[in-house]
Amino acid sequence: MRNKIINFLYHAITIVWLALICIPIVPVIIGSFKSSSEYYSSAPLSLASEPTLSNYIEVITSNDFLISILNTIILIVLSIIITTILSSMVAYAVERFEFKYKQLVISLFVIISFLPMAVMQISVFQVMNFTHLNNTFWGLAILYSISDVVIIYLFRDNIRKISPNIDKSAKLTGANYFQIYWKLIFPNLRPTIMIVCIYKLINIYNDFYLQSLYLTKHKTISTLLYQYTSPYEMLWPQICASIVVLIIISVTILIIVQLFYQKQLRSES
Amino acid sequence: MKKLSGLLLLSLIIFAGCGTDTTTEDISGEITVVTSYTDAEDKFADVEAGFIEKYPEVTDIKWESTAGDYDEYITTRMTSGDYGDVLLVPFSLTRSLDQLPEFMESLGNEEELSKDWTFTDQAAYEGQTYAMPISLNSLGMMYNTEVFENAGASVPTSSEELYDACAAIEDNGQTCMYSNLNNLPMLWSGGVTSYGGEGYVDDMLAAGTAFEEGQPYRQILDLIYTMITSGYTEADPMTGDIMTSMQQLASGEVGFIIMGSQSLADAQAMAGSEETIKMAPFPVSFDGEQHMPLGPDELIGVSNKSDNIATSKAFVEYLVSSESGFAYSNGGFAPEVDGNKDAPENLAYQIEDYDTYRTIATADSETVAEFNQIGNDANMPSISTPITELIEVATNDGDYDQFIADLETRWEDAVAKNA
Amino acid sequence: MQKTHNSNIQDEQTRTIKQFLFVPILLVVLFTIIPFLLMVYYSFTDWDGFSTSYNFIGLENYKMLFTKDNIEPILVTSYYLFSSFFQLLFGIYLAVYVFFQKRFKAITISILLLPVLLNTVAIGLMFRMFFMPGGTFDITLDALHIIPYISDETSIKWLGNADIVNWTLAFISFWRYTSYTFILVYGALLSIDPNLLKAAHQVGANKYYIARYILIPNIKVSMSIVITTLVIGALSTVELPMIMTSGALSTKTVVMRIQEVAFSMRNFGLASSLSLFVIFLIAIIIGVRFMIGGDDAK
Repeated sequence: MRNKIINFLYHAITIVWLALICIPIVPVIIGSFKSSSEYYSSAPLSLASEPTLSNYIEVITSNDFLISILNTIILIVLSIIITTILSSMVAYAVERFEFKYKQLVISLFVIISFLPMAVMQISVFQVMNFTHLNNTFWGLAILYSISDVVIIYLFRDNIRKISPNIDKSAKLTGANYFQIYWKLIFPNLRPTIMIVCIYKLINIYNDFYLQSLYLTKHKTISTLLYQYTSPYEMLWPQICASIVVLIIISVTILIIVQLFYQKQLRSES
Repeated sequence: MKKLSGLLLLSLIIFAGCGTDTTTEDISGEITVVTSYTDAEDKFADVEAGFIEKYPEVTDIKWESTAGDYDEYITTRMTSGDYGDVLLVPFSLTRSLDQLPEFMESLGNEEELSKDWTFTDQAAYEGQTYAMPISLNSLGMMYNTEVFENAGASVPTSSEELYDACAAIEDNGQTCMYSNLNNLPMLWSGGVTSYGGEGYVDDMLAAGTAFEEGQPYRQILDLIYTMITSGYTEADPMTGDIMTSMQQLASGEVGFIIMGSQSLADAQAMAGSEETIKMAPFPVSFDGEQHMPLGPDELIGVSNKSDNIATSKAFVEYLVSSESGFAYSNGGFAPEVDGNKDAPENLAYQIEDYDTYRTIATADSETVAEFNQIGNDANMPSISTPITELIEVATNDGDYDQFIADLETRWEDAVAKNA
Repeated sequence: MQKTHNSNIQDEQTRTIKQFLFVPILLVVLFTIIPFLLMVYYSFTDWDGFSTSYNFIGLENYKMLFTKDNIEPILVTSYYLFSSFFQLLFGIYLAVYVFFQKRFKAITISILLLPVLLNTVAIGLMFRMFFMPGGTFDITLDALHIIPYISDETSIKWLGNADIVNWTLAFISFWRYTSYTFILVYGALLSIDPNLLKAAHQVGANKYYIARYILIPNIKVSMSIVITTLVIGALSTVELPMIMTSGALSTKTVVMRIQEVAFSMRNFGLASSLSLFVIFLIAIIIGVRFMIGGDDAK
């Protein structure tokens, strides 16, 4: 009996939480089908009396819609590549080798994680300008990559699970360390890489400040949404519609990534 | 034909006025304009088309903006030297005028410019003007005439009249004022001159106090406090939304909002009639008269790091003149001495019914610098800070007298520090 | 012969370490250490953030740190620290749940990630609708007969009451950022050796047992960094109070204060020293945690 109650709670809490996540989004979905005048004069939860698709049409046909999605994808892919390679290399070096300044290197990566980027932006901007990385996708992707130290730790955890004997036997057959890393370690990092993909996707998707600062010449999805806002005017129905469109796109991508990953797992076992 | 010659004449004035020695041949290529408008491309579409039509050598205008705080964004870019060819001048730079020459290109001698243009002193330093208003907008009560008529109230000209009108409006089951305090407390800083006159900075410095009975800051805080505690505002001033306030104003659920004339056309369109929504000055008289406050919406200038200064200057001149039509589409006037004869009718009230009044104090730059320093040291860079703090006192049964006394202490400590 | 072979390996190791660490460290130095040092430098000046000239004023900025205006915003972040604690617990629970889940996994993950896939503008819009008087929350409470909704005036103002608003914001923070913890913990769980789990299943261990004795111990290091991220995230909260209340009703957090000092009061020197103070606090909190929890970073 007691087990049953616990089992019930175990599922119920998750289901309630999933519902709680969806409730605040409901008015957004309802609002996206309302005309501008109805939107401001009706209660958030009352359904549209004359549902309209005009908000969606306006969002999807706006000039920058496709190019913004493309730019965001470029940014995310670049950032995933840089983060994955750099973080896993650091994790490999730190996890598998002993060396003189190891503790210092580890501390360095811990320390940088608690420097509040928001306030250092003026000096970061100067460095970006100095290195001519301003207004390049590379530059911003690098900035995104070095700010996520937590990923190095995920890779370390992952590498620790891979038996060091693999390294040793490969070493005896004459492989060099880079080959070991690339041929033996890297393919085993797939679970973490998937998390990096999702993590980067949500981070970059969310951030607008860095994108508006360092990519002034390119529109992205998160800066796109702001074309409907200004200090004195918020075009909420259009904003609602773009939110819904963006949710649909990202959830689709997420589901595809996961299905792909699960299929791979199955084919391996 | 008449209109055409008017335009022609006007453009001559602009060129003579701005005293640029550039000829049209130099005006070519591409420029980047940085603004706080995320929808700049649409907002300035007509301006861009008109400018390129006038100067066919110009290939393109690129628009850049931020979704975040504009001041933060542009000052970060300014430290690096890359901040576009034309830009809206950040608020912080207009507070430290001596820094203008470091970043901005002079548009001309201020005295010369002021023959044809107004508000040339807003961003001027040592006789040079560095930026011009993109449009001059009035600010005050945007009210629904029907709501006031139904309540039997006339447009208030003092706080007491306002409270009476509000009581009547609330009796009719409507909200008197939608305060928008969570979004737009800064609008009240444009109202300070209505309460204290154009010389309020000098007056406050001379008095050494800021929150004594009758001083402009105090009058504004008293008004907002009374409005909130009497229940004359929306139910929760923390969850307000600007578009909702305009929609409710238009539909007659709200009596008035404090708003700039930028939004007048929108509100009138929502109400479906120009007669329903009108603008009036803040409910106060200074020296026995009511004035319609008028001031720059934003200031625009040219970066001195630009490599296409001639085109950039021409663009600024074109944008701010009535020729571009931007000021009108922005619900305001072009900063021209003799311009604005062709202003749209729904805006004409600003010059017909009232003396216009500047929203920004006329004090010399040193005095303004001192005033700003005291404000910073007192931890209130503008009146929006005490207003934001006031919300907590007014909505949570705080001790208002104590609140005012604390503000006064903060101010006087800062005055003492800068003495 | 053996000896040279060993030293060859030693050389190769050193070379590999250098190759692997060179680029990451270079980037870190360029984009975080140098800006950090610049900030230390500015903290001794009266720089206003953009002018080309400024004066050295020694420790003046540091003397001005401990005023009510600077300290209160630091205390406000404790609400978010409190929220982070529950984000951690709940994030672990959700990660374990999804880890064991057999059906609807992809859908569950997608819904769980919705809060972090929504842009700041969306969050501001949604929760204003949700918490405004007569909004979704009031109506839900009324329908569940918890708190009756009578009129806008009498309802609890979740975002307008100074006693409640910080808790409301902490809840929104919980709503939004639990997903971050979830995804990180879930990521760590995925990297656990499947053989361990198979063995546990074979001996008939139940979910609780597996979670308690196999899953959690195996992700300790990741957990320690997740906690670090949460602490930092809480202390540098800025977006949420900015969009919901603009810092009114004593909801101003310390990073908002830093931005205010830097950009509206144009005192970049003071802003720099305040940021350094926050970094110092974070270092203390994390340092204490490392001391209590042993050397996790090893």
